[in-house]
Amino acid sequence: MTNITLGQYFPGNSSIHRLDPRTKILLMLLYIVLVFLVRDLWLFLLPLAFVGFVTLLAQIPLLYVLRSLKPLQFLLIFMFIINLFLTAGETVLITIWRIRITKEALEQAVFISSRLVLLVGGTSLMTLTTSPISLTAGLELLLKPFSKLGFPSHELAMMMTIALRFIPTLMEEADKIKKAQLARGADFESGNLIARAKSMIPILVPLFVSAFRRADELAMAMESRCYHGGEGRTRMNVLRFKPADAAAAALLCSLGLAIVLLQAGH
Amino acid sequence: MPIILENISYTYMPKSHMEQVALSNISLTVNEGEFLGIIGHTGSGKSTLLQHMNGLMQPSSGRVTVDGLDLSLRKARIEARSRVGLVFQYPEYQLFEETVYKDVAFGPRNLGVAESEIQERVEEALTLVGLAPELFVEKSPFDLSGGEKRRAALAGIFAMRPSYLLLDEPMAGLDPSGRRAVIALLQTLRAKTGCAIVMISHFMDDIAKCADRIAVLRKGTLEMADTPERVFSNPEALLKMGLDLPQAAKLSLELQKRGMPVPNGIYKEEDIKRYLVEALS
Repeated sequence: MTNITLGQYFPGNSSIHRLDPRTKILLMLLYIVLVFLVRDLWLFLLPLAFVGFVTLLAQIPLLYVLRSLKPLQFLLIFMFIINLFLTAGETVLITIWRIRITKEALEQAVFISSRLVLLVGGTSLMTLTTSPISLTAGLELLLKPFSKLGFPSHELAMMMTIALRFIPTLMEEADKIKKAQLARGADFESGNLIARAKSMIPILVPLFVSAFRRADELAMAMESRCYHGGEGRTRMNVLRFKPADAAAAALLCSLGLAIVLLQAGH
Repeated sequence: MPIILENISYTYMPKSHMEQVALSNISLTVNEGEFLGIIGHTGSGKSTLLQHMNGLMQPSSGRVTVDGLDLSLRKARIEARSRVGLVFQYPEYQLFEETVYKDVAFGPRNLGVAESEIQERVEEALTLVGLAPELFVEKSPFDLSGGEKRRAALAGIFAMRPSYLLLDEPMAGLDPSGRRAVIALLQTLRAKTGCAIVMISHFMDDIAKCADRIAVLRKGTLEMADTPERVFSNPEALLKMGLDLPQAAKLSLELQKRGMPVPNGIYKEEDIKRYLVEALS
C-alpha cells in the first residue's frame, strides 16, 4: 500500500520546485491550451522540448515523469487503435482482410496519442515539483477573487489540505487494520467478487469509525486553537512572485507565440 | 516446537530514497510455553520483529519457521496464523461487528471451527477477559467503554486458542489498574492454556514481573536475549539505549550507590522487599 503516490510529489529544491505555486498552476493551464493549439505533428517538438527542459531543470529522473503515463496506457492504446481504424482517409497503407489502414488515419492516431502523452506528462511535472500543501495554498490565492462572489475559496483549500494531510494517516491505519484482521485469519484474496467485497467489511468499518473519530478530534483541536475560518488569517510563508516566475511565464508565452506564428501560414 | 527466526533482515522500501533497514540479521527462538519480553527504544524494530513471527511480514533475507512450518510459503503462513495469535497496539480499533459475540467469533470462524464449538470458545474467552458473556454477547462493541473494548479485542484473539500469543504493547494507554488487569489476564491465560507469550512493552516492571526471557532490540539489531537477571544486571547498557529499569532494580542500584550491600541482579518487587526486610531486621 505504500507505493500509492498521491500527488506524486518528488521532493527537491530546484529552481522549478521554488517557483511560486500560482505560477505553476497558471502556466500549467497555459501549457494545456498550448498543446491543444498545435495542429501539425512536428510542432509537438516544441512542447516536448519544453517538458524535457523543465524535467532537466527540476532534476527529476525521467522515469518518474514517464511513470505518470502508466495509468494511461490502456486509454492510449485504445485511442490509438480507434483512430487508426476509424479515421477516414484515401492513401491506403496496409489492407488486412477488410480493414484498411490509411496514411491519414495513422497520422491522426499518432497525433492524438502525442497530444495525450504531452498533456499528461507536462501537467504531471507540476504535481511532481509542487508539494500538495503549497499547491493548495496557490489554489486558495488564485481562487480568492471569487470569494467576493460567495465562493468558499479558503474553506475549499482548508478541506483539501486536511484531506491530503490525512491520506497517508488513513492508509497507514488501513494497512494496520488489514494486518490485524489477517492475524485473525481473515482472507482477502480468495472467493468471487462479492465474497471479496464482503471480506473488506472488517477493514472498512474500523477505518470509518477511526476516520470519524479523527475528524472529531481535529475539529476540537482546531476550535481550541481559535480557528474561525479564513477571515483575517495570515500565512507563515507569504507567496511572492519572483523574477524566476516572470522568466518561466515569458518562456512559455514565447513558446505559445512560436506555435501560433509557425502555424499562421496554414 | 518453537518459533525460530534465523538471521532475518528486513528493509523498508528497498532501493528508493526512503530505504530504511528495520531489522538486521536477527536470530531468535521463541520456545513453547515461555514468556518472552521484547524491549527497545521507539523505532528499534520491535513491532516489525513481532509481525515476522506470524508471517504478516516476510524477511528480506533469512528464514522464519513456526513449529517447523516455513513461513516463506503462503499455505504455511495461513496455517501458522491459527497457531500464532497477534494482538496489535490498540487492538480495540479492529472491532467491527454488530455484536461482541460476532466479533469474538470472527477469528475462530475464519479458522473453520464448528459453530457449536465457536459458542463455547467465545464464552470461555469472554469469561477469561472478565466480560460476563450473559451481559456482553449481545452488546455492540462500539457501546463498550475503552477498557472493555480492549478486553473484547483480546478475547477475539484468545478465542482462536493460539499456542503462541504475540502482544504489541497491550498496556499502552491503560491506567495502572487496567495494566494490572491485563497482566493478571495474561498470567491466567498462560496457566490455563500453557501458551507461549511474546510481549512488547515499555513498562519494565510488567516485563520484570512476567518474562522468563527478555530480548533487547536496538536500531534493528538484537543486543541481548537473556534471562531478566542478566539483562537487568547491566543497567548502564539499558539506560544508554534510552530504556528504563524496573523500580526494584532502580532502588537496589541507588542503595548500592549509598553503600548498602544489595546483591546484583535484583529486579523483582518481592525480591527487593524480602531483602530489605531481612537487612533491616
